[in-house]
Amino acid sequence: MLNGYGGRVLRVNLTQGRVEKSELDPDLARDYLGGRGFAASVLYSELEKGIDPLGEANKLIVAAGPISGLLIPGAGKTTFAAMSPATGGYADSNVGGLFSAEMKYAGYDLIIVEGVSPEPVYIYIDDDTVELRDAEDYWGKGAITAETALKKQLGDDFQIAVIGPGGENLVKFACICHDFGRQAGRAGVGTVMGSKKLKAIAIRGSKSIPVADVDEFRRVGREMYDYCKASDAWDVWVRLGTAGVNVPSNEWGSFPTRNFQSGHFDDMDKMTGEYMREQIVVTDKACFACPCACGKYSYSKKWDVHVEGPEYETAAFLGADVAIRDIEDVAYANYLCDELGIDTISAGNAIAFATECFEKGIIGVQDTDGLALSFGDSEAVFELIKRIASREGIGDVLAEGVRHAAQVFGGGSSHFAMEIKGLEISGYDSRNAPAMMLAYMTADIGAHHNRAWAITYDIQVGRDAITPDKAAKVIELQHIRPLIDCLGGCRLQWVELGMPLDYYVPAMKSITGIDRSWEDLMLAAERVWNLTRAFWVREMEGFGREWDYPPPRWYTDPVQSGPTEGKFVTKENVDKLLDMYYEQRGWTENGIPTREKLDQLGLDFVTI
Amino acid sequence: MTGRLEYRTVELANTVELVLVGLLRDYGPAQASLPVEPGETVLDLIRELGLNPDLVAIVMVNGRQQFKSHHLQPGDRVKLLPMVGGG
Repeated sequence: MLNGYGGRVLRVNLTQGRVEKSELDPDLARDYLGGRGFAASVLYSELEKGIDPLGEANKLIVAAGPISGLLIPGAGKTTFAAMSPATGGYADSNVGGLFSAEMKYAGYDLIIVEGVSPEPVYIYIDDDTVELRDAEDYWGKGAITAETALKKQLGDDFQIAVIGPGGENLVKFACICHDFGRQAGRAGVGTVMGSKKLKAIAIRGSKSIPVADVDEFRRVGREMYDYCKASDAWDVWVRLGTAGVNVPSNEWGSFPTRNFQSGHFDDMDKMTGEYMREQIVVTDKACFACPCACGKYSYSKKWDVHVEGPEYETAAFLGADVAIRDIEDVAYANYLCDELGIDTISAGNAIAFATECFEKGIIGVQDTDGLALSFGDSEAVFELIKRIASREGIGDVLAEGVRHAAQVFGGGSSHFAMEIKGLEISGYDSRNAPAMMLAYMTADIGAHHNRAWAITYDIQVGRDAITPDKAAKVIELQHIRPLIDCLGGCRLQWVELGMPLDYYVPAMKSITGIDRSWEDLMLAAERVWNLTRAFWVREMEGFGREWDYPPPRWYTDPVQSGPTEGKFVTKENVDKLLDMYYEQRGWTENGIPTREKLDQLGLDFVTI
Repeated sequence: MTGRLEYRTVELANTVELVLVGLLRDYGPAQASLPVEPGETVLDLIRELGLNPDLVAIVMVNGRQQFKSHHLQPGDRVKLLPMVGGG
């Protein structure tokens, strides 16, 4: 019995209709902990080089961690992972809610979905009973509609992960949706699920999770909860959720505006977290075991829809980046994306990109079936979201992501196609935040903020500085945050409430019975980071520094307005940042992990 | 006695209650009662504390988020939070 784990791996082959259960390998738990660590290990070791991400050979990984399902603040994250159809590289994306807890209660730490079903199916898991069931009645339905229907049919105590029409139609940034409006949103994990004709996974469990020292676990867990509840930030965080960041991000000049032409939106009165709270929020919503309910469940009277959010990232991309200035319109666009099952970050980016192309005359009404695009036009945004999800007309181009769209539209538009490694940049303009820019450049799924939210460090030590400590901070954060992802936890208790990271050491000891230092846990995170890098090296011919460059806009175009007006990071400084980062990582000058570094991390099976 | 009482009342009426959260406590006391001038904004208060305004992410006044340009009133409860993480 492996303390802290469900103890089993569930492997479902959709082509053959075969289900296998096996014991969780204790070495896997030791070296990779869980969550994204499990995902990286399985994807690296089991995927053949050069497979089609939308073909039979790709695998969809669902992973819980050692704290999932236990009473530790924030232990509600589930990792979904695959080779990304958006980037061709490594992808994982996690979602808060209740899914991983239910996995553990059913006795599974990992679900590996292989093959392609001939017909739409969903996977039904009730403890030891695992079945492939016909999903014909659900195929074509919106994600929230389908989740509601599945819960009605199976029972409210089943937890559901489901795709919408965006995933079915292989939109490259389709989400996996859970708990009525939460998403594993990035890099197309929902697209992979759609390619497998897998509409949903429904799971219910009733087992216990073995814990090594229950008394000590209760003591540490209670201390962690007490810390969170006593935090002076707690009431603020619960009141505003991530939308509380809309205002400060705008004040920092990092709020993506009009396809990143600026980092400052000129009309925030109806875009603040406070306005949202007072106008549309109905109630607060928490993930499993979380003491700070940052989810905001809202109702827009204007559009007569319920939606979870809008979160910060959605306010950035379906708000300022497309110049929508009313949170109710953002909420409706958010609802459309959630129901259609597409990522609000990439969808907003794609729409902002198309709008800038339209305004610059690179595309016209002949390319949009007569739809005029202009920044601030909410109706056009709603229409484009629908066309993307259904792959209709220009939506079919945008559904491939902005890198592809720039190739189709031409006219020099790749200059402002805001992506890195093929993944659309998330919500921080970084032209006056070099550490944040470096974090985006080196994030291991493409340009995503959650690996290292380093803009705070830029602000603390000086925003113009291009210094080795910034590379060091990015690396440190790229281990801390993914470590929490490996454990199955949420970073927000640490980031927002100031809960000390030290708690995870005694918590893990009490759960697993194994005494591991913080440094040892961080080493596992570094191992995972190098393994995901090695995945990119293996899959991309000639992979290296070029892949880490930001879009030219970030090193060429000065910010157009706001507190960072005129700022940008020169190409020379982009290279300096990468030089410092590669050196500190123990990688080559081209950004490739060295044999020595790989061996030091126990990755001797990786060929470079 | 009456005069003294009036004086104390005036003094209390011209202050705001301030709470600093997290790393902002490196720049001032966790909680304090501070005098406020007519027309003073949150930004003025932040500068008086010697804080880099960018270090203050979220401004709460009487339990509601406000812009830093918000004008303070005597008796306001002000809470300043450092950078917090989106997403």
